Amino acid sequence: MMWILRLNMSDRTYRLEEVPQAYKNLGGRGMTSTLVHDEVPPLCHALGPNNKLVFAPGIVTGTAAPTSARISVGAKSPLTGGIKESNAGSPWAQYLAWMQIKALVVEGQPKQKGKYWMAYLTWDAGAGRPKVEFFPADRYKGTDLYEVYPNLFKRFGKTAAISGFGVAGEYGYANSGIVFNDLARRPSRYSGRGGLGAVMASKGLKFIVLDSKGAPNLSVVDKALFEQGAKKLAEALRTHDVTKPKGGLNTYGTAVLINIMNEAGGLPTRNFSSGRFEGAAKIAGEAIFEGNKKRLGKELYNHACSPGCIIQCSNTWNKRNGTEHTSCVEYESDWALGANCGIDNLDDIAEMVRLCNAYGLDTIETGTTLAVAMEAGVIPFGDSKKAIRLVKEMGKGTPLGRILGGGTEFTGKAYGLSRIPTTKGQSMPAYEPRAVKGIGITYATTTMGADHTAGYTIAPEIMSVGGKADPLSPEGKAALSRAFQATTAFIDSSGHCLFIAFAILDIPSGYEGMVQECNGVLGTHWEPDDVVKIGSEILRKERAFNEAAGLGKERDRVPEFMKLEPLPPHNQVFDVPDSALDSVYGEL
Amino acid sequence: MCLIVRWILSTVSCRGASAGQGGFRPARFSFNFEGIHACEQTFPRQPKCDNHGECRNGTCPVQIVCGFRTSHGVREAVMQVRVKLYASLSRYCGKVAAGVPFEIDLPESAMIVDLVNRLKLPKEEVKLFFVKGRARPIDWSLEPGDEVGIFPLIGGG
Repeated sequence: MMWILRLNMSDRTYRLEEVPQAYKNLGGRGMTSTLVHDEVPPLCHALGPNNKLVFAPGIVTGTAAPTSARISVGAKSPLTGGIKESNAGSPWAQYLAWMQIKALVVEGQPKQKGKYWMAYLTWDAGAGRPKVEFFPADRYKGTDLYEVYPNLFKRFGKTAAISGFGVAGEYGYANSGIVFNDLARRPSRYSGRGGLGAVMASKGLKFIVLDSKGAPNLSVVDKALFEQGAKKLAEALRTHDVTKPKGGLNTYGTAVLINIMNEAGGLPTRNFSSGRFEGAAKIAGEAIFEGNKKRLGKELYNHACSPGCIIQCSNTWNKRNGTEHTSCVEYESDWALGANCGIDNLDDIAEMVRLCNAYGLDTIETGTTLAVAMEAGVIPFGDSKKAIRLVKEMGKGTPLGRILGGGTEFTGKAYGLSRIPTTKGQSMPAYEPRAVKGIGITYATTTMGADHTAGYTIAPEIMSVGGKADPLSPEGKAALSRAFQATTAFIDSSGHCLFIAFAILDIPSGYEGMVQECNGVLGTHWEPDDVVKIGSEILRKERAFNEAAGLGKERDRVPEFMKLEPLPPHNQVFDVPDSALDSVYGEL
Repeated sequence: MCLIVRWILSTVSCRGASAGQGGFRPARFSFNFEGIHACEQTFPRQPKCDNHGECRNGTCPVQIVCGFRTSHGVREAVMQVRVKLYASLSRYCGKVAAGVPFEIDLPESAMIVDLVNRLKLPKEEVKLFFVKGRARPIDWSLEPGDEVGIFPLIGGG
């Protein structure tokens, strides 16, 4: 029996429902987006009682499928005003799946504002189903997550897994994420984008603690088929240069992209005013690897953020004395708090990453907001010490901190700027649309607001993975972005980390393996060609929600400055015609 | 008249050039003389040395970082390109850190593949080539002053 578990935060009760037939084959993003589409009024306030926060493990999450411990979180976003799905890797995802929960829906709102509770989910072996207890959580209010998490693990045991939000959520910031613990129980794996932390805070639910002890694990309909698929996928991941052990991601982490994006002239620098950063080599993945080697006296390869991952790309940055400073300095964080702010000091970038984790901030939105504040003259570009001070203001909830916490667009408006790199209210990540046209189309058109993971055309445009495409040319890119967006919606639903795409785009048997795994778990008969079709259905639901929420095709545009200001070094503007942008969903 | 010389085709770098004051600086030397047999030598101080702190008594200790190899040739038309090696490829270039540029002499009309051969980079490992910020195939003809970035297959996000 698989369940949809509903936590009603108006009266702190819960209800278990058998998964309806129509939802049986859904998982991850497919599940969160369907539930939000079906149950959340598109015009509700994102922080009001009618919004719902949905957690869903992927289709194969909880099985032995490689790199598949992903949890999707969905709701109406307070940042974009549209639908949101943001996923993370964590043991938490597996625990939910093992407790037979296909979706956990947080509903309602307590009458007492500013009061918090936590939900403790365990397996009731006698009844053969999950059970929920609610405990007060006010004592954890206003506290650094690095302090809270050890206390919670002490209280609930080391076998627990915990999700929650930090002070950023408590303040209601549109820049606030939901955190999950990694394998070392750090509060470091984030569903960061779109302000989901504030949605969780609006429900008064500070933490969800899971302990799956005694739970029966996920049932698999066709075990042999599943194992065949998992084997093929594992083989693809182990052999592809990007994903293999001691390959690019395992050695240098995601920040290995800093140099190549800089080389391609597509690394947004100083608030998207250039595509090249002179300090790129100092903050790149290679510099992180060499820096750690120097400080530790040995090579340090990366670790898994979640159980069962073959890729293992999560890094740590160590202090001069050899102790850990923070984990993880991802490419996006490194870029947002580094190149985009004109900062080339890895120690200070790491400190800002640590602070974001401590407060529950999205590192991308934080870095892009700091850069806008720099452009406004609040602090100078490149001043990392003052940047750290601004992040601390966000953590303290000072008036300036609250403006910054509202996000990049909010801050840009507060200071009267026109160079504000956002679409649908969400800031652009680490690829310049003027230098890489396909990703610009994804930013403009995805249902998520500017989001690179929604349709990662960087693979063929920059890395020659999954084909080759000229990044400066807009030709054929609408179709490319559409295909990537649909495929991604499927991968996000499967429970796999999106990074499997590097291997399966180049190795057909890996792609086939992913589909076989899903068929094995669900008993479906999907073919590899069905992936785009199934992904497209998810996108249509998301799009329908957005249109009903007022985010139609008029909002599928990049900011005007990108059409007017040529970007060095290629001196390109964003020259994709509106008709091409409209065709992405128009021809879905 | 052709002057047959024994000449070092590769670029060499001052020791410690990557950690000089002001951060990363391009290490840049080209030598043209006879009788070099060892990989590491003390050469007469070069006017273009940008690591003077290392130079003592009119000599500049240098280490040949890209190749340690010599070749016979006719030094006729030569062009210089700027090279940056990234990720795992940087280990083929001695102490120069990933992304730190160095200059190298190549025969005119050389292609990227000639550069790869010159640096003795394993062909199965080099995947992506950027020339002046644009991705180019391995048979792309280089021009004097080109900036070339060479990568293995990488990904992230």
